[in-house]
Amino acid sequence: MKGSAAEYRERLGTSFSDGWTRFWFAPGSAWTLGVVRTTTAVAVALALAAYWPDVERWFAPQGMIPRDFIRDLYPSQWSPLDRLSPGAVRVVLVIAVAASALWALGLGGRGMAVATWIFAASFFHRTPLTNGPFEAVALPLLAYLCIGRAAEGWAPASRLFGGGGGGGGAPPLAASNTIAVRLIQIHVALIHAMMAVAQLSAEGNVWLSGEGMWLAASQAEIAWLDFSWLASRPRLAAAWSHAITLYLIALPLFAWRRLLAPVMVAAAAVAWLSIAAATGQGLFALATWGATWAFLGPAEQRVGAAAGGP
Amino acid sequence: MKTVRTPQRPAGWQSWVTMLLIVYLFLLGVGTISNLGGQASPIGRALRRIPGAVPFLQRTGMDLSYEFALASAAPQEAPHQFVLYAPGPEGQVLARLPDASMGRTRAQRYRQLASYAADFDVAFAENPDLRSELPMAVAQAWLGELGLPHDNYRLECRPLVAQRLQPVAPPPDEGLGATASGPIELDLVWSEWESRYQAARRQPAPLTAQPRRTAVSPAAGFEGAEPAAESPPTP
Repeated sequence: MKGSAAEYRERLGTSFSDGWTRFWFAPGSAWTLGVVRTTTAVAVALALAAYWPDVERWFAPQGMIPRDFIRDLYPSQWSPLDRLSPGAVRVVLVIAVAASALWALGLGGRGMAVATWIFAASFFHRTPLTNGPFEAVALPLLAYLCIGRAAEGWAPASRLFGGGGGGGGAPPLAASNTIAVRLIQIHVALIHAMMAVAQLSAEGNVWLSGEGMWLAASQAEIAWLDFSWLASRPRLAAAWSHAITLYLIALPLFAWRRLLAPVMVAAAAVAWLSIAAATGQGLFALATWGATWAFLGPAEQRVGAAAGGP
Repeated sequence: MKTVRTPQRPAGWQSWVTMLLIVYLFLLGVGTISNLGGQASPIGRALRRIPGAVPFLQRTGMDLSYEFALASAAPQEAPHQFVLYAPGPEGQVLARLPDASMGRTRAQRYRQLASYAADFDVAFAENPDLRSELPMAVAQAWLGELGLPHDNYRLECRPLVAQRLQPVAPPPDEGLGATASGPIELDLVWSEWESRYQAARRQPAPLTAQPRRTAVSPAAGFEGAEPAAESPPTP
C-alpha cells in the first residue's frame, strides 16, 4: 500500500513534469507568432498615429492630462515622455509609428519588437486616462512577442524585398516561440473568460436578457454602421448578444483542442468583426482576433503558409 | 508489470524559466483577481499588498481585470462626452469632445477621458479639489485652445446612455446605481487673481437608462414591451 502510494506520487510528478516541459518548452514554429505580430503591430501603428492631432492636448505639461496629476494617480508608472515637450513628442511619435510599421512587415527582428513595445508603453503610460481595452490587450501581446522570434514568421518583408524575416526557407523551431505562444494563449483565454464574466454580471442583466449588443450598437456616432433598425428586431438583437456571450465562454474552453481551434479562430473572426462594427473598437477587435491565431497548431499553420498568409 | 519512468531532468535554463513563468502567471492572476468587481474581494486586496506586485502590474499595464462587458445598463459605465456651454443659464453648446470630425480612435480616447472624469467624480467625492481636477484641466486647455474670452462658461461631462429595449425597474434610492447617474456640470468662473478658471460643481438630477418605447409588440420580442400607441414620444 505504502509502495503503491509512493509509486503514484512519482508517476504523478513525472507526468506533470513531462507535461509542463512539453507545454512550455517543445520547440515550436514562429508562424503563428508572425500572424499575431502583424495584426498587433498594425493596430499599434494606427493607435500611435492617432495621437498626432492631439499631441499638445495629451502631452503638454498643462494639457488636458497634466503630468503631475497622472503621476500622483499612478505613482508606479513612468514614461520617458514625461519630460519631453510636445515638439519632441512629435519626433518620437514619428519614429514609433515607423518602428511599428516596419515590425508589422517583419523587419528588424527582436530589436524592433522590443523598440515597438517600449514606444507603445511610453505613449500609453503617459496618457493612461485615454486608454481603453485595446491598450490593455496590446501591451502584454507586444511583451510576449519580444520573447519569441516573431519577425521570422509570416513576414511580408521577405516577399517584398527578398530579405528580412522568414527569407531563405522555413525558420528554425525554437522553444522561445512556444513560450511566447503559450503566454499569448493563456492571456487571450483569460481576456475572453473575464469578458464573459463581465457580461454575465453586467448591470441590468442586459446580456442575459439579450439587449447587450443593442446597447453596444445603438450609439450611431460610435458604431461603424447604423444599427437603429435592430430596435424593431429584438429577437435578432438577442441572438447576436447571446452568440457573443457564448463565443466568449467557448473560446477559453475549446480553443485548446487541436480539432476545434480552427473553428474557434473562424468564430473569433465573425464575433470580433461584429463587435468592432457595433462598438467602433476596431483596433481592440483586430488585436484580440489576431491573438486567437496563437491557438492554431502546426497542421493549420502549414495550410495557412501554403495559402499565403492569415 | 508497471514501470516507473525516470523523469528527464530539465535543462538548467528551463528551471529558471519555469520559476519566472510561475511568478509571472501568479502576478497575472493577482492583477485579475484583485481588480475583479472594482477590487471588491478582500483576498484580492490582500494580494495587492505583496511587495512589488502592484508596481510590476502598473508598469506592465496589467493592473486590471479585463472585465470589458462591451455594454451595460448603468449610466456610469456608458461612454461619456464633454460639452462646453456659452455663459448664461440657457447657454448654447459651444463645442463637444469628441466632435464629429474626429476619427474613431481619437474619439474613443476623449470618451475614455470623459468616463474617467465621471469615475473620479464618484471616487473623490470627499475631496472637491481632486474631484474637479481632471475636468478643470480639460476646460482650461480647451478654452485656451478655442481662444474664447474669459467668461463664465459651463462644462458638462455627460453619459451617452443608450435607450433600452425593455422596460426597466425604477432606479434604487441609494447604492452604486444612484451615485454617478447624472451628467457632471461645472460652472467655470475666471479668476483674475489666479489667472485661471475655477469651478463650482452643480448637483445633478438622477439619470437612469430609460426603456425605449417602440412599435414592437410583446409577442414579437421581449416580454413586457409596450405597444407604441401607449408610449410617450422617444426623448
